[in-house]
Amino acid sequence: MAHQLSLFVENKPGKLNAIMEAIIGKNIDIKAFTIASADKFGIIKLLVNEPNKARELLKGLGFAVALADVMVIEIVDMPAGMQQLTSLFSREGINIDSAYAFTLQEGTKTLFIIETKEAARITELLAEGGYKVLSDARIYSL
Amino acid sequence: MYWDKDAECMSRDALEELQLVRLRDTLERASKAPFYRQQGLADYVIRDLADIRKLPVTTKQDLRDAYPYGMVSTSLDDVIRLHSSSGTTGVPTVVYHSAHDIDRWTELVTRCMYMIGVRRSDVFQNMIGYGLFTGGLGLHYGAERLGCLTIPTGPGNTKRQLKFMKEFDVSTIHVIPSYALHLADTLDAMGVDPRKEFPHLRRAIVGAEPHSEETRRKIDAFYGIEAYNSYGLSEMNGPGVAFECQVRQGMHLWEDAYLIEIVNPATLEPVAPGEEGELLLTTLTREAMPIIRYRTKDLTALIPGECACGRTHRRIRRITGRSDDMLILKGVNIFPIQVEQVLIGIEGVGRNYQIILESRGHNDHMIVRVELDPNLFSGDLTLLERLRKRITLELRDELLITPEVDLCEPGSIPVAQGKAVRVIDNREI
Repeated sequence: MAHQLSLFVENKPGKLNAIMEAIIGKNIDIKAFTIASADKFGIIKLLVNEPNKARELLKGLGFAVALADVMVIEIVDMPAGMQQLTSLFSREGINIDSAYAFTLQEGTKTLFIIETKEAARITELLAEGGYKVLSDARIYSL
Repeated sequence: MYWDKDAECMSRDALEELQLVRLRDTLERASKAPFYRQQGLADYVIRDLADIRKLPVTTKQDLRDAYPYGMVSTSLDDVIRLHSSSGTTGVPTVVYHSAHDIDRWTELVTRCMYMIGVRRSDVFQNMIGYGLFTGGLGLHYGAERLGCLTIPTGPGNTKRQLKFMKEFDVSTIHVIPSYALHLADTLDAMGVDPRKEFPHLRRAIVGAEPHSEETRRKIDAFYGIEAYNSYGLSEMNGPGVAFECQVRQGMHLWEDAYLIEIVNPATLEPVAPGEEGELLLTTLTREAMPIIRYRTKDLTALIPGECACGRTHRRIRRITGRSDDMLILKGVNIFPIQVEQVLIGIEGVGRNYQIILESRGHNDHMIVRVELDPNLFSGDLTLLERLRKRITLELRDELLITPEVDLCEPGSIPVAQGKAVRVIDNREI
């Protein structure tokens, strides 16, 4: 299972910049990030190569940081490959709390990242369906 | 012109004589209450009014410590009503009234209303909170004694307020000043001219929160009426303690019911005549719960000289502030410690907080900033939103007004050295 960093931030200019400044030059590679906001505050989610190190670094700077398990699923051939996966989820009645996706190499591989409370069941289903679920190490070797 | 001319225009000598008699009676009655018995109140010899300075003062904390019945000086069978401060976390301050007390209170309120021209032919809409809060019921009883058609709308529900004002030809309203201005904004937005909409409206009684002369002038001008300042506090019954007459230069404080002292809040020594200080009040007619030298924490000054209206009871200036950290928002009294007590009980946030008061239009808002506890942060946005709502609801239950809650990053709120730093008041008063 891969890990995702979540940071609590107030919805104000300069917040993202402060985070980038904090991790720059510390050998931390960001593969993806997303921002979800609820009016005056939000959560920045980061997929990084060294989640534990990044967490300690940001925590040391006073941020509220959480590290959570996420499933990173490799999808080949968008959107047909994606549809295959979503139809599987739909059929099995699986709910996803939050998700985002990014393309690694144009036209070939897309990584689909999901947060769910049904990780065990999904892992099983994906294994049966022949999907690749990536670990932290695997993501950064791509 | 006067509801009770003998009382309102009594000579100073007669008034002070009456005060001395009533003060002695009050001390005798008070010494039956466990709290004052313990203070040995009965042992003090009172030869003249100045001797009151020998007596100990009574504070809000004393009232709390004496909770529930330590301040009651009569049999509980004689008590017919209680009023209480808001709040669920701390010990409330409760004030008890006998039938005689309610009657005396009503008499004072009636006197106030009559003084500003309210008569039995008037229609009175009472837009102030009923219930444990004293503002609503206090004026209600006075208006009924006068024989007004009394409409107990209570606060809020702006559309209904405006409808009733218009359809029942309301002549007199009782309202907190910020709500009077909020109604004005609403009418403005509707394109309604209040002078045409409410041709019968003559006057507003404004109280429960401090306001400036400028705010009063705005209310006067907008509605084409006269607004009168009203002062009271639940410990001294509620409204009806001091009230403006038609001259509108200060509020007459009814000295046949209360003994006035203005003191330096630090030393409790009397200030020079006309100087600002903290108002201390002693009840002179109350039976069930007499209070001696109560520290109101309200800052004011006595206005020297006689009033053109002919009343001999001295006048106090508008309340200019507090000698403690109490805030008044939408007519509700709030102590910052109440916010702290709510936050202590909620997991997920720290104890450091900040209160910001703002005016938006004529509406006052309270923003409570709290820091997220980094150790309890799960990364889930839904949980954060739920936490924010929970804090809002718990604060609302405690404060009786709904604040806006801002969740802040850990360490982003300056650590307060003194209590005052926790409160940033940006309101235009």
